[in-house]
Amino acid sequence: MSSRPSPKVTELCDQIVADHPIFGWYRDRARLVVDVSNGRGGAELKERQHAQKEYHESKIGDLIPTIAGRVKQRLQEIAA
Amino acid sequence: MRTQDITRDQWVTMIAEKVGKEFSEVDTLLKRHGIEARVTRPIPRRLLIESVSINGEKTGEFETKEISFSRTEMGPGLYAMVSDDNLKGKTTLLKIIRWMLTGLYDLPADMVGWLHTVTLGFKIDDQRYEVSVESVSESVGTLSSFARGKTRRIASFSDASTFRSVMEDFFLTELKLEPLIAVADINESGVEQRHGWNWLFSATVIDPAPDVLFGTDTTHGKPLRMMQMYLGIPWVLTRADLMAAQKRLTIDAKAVGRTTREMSSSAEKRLSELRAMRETFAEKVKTETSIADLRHQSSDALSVYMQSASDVRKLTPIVNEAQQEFDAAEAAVSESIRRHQEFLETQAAGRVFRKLRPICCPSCEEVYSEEYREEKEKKHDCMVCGRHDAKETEATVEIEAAFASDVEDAKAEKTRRRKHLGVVKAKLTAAISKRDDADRRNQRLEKDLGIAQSSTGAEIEVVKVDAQIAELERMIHEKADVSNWEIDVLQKAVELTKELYEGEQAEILVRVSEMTAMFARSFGMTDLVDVKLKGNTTMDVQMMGGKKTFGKCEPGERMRLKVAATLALIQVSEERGIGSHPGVLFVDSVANNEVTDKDVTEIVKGFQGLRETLPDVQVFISGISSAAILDHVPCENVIKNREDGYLW
Repeated sequence: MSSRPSPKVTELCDQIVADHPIFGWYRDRARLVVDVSNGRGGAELKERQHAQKEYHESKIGDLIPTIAGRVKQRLQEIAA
Repeated sequence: MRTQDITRDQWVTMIAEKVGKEFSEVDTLLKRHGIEARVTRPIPRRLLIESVSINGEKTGEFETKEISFSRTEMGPGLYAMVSDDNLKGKTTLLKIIRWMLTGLYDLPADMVGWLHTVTLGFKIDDQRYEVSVESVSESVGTLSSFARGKTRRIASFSDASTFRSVMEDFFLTELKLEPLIAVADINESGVEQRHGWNWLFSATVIDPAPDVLFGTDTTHGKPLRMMQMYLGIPWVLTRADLMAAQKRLTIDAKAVGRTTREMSSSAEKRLSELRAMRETFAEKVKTETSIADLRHQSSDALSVYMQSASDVRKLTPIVNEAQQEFDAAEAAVSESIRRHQEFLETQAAGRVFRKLRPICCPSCEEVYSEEYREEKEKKHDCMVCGRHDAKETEATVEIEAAFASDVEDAKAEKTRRRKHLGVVKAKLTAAISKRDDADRRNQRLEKDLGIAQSSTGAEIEVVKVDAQIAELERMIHEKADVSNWEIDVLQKAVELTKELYEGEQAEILVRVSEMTAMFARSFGMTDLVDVKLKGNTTMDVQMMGGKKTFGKCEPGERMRLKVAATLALIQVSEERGIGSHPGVLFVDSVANNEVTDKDVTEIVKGFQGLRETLPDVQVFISGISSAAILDHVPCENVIKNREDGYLW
């Protein structure tokens, strides 16, 4: 699966964000995910997301609990 | 004025009335001091030296060593002991007679061992006596009386002390004399002194240059006492006893007073120290927190702790509740923002999706037919999920505004909750701080209190010193129970007793003065106009050339005045039938003191004249052998020196 969206998609997204800046946040998030996902696609990323208990148990409309503390701890362990 | 009829009880009653005391109190006081009403009036009795014999042996270079002197059958009248030179035994012979009468040995030291035996025969009125010393060196002898042809031993003596005691008892009893008890202040202590026969005997001795009218000693009013006693004036010895007792008490009181003062002085010193100590401690108290203060502070701290702890307990759930309310408000803000965001995103998503023309299903990728697409577009339904996609209306704007308003409301509520939380949190923090401060303060005070209780603080020291000061002040003010009232009673008794006899004494002294002047003139004091013997035995001598006192007279005048006063005393006693002078005079060295032969003649003639006025008086004079004496003293009454120059 190609990690790069088609020019048409890119154009569309740019148009959407231009029309509705409120979606800029999503675009930024998506770009960040793309930058760190190392070429992984949607299904694979979805699977990895649901591997986190907080994310998996979140219902639609819930505030998704943060996992930042656990992530930072893991980073420290990796760096050590 | 004669007062002999006053009884002892009457006398005591008078004193008691005068001092305002009960009879029994005064009676007990007088008895305790041995003071009696001495009112006996002695009848004059006459001592007459009848014989004297001396035996012994002189040591040294003497022509005649053996001593064997004897003179017997002497009677009343004038006797003269004369020698051509001095130091030939005249004065010693007088001293020997005195020794035999008093037991008081006073012979020159160089004569020790000379005398072996001495015997003196004498009479008191018609009763004959003999004192015989069989061993002069040991003062062994006897005193005997002779009556109805029998010799009766009155007393024996074997030493000088007993000899004196025997003669004292004998003469005091026979002549109805009494000793004078005086209290001398020696080293601030009352020492009782007894003046008996030896002192009274001095009234019979006329020295060449006398300083005192009666006797030889002026202490304790002795000349006056002697005169009063020989005149037989009543109450005199009682008064003397009262004065002695008074003096004794006064000295005792002074001693007690001195002790008290010394004690007070020490106490005052200590008191000053204690007051200074108290001052120091009192100053310390001002800066030192007392136990009571510590307890008070501790109690306050405990109250603050309990109040603040209670506040903490009350505020803690309030803060918790405020926190929960703030958290809820914060959550509500998030929720309102999320819902607003969701609404805005949904509206935007709708607008995006409405522009999208999906070709196939994003899930199964089935291609949508044209008819399906038109139908959905026509109905404004979603081609993917089929849900109706309502078009934006004016209501949408209101809804969005409502969401935005909800956000603002939630934020405002959150702000209120934050403020409330801040307020109650601050209160709780303050209460906790106050509680902890009070707790720490209380712990510190408990510690200080423990230290204060285990040590004696300045406050306690002040209480202790105050107690010591109070005790000392009590001691200082508690004077020793000095019997001042007893001294006062005795003083009043002295005054009252004097009143009992001073009238009688004044009358007698007038007569004695007259007789003294008469006798003195008979002894050659022809310039004498008048003599005034006073109650204190001072004598004013009025001469033709002027007035002077006895003490200011020339030695020869004094001797003549003394002889005259003594003879006057004897004469007045004789007239009144009251008195106790023994009627013997020893006049030593009559021719001395610048007395001219003419004067000696007059003195001797005066004595000789006593045959008329005082026929039972016996006078011994001594002097250098001269016509002035020998022409006027009967030759049988002259004891003259032997050929070797000595009388014995």
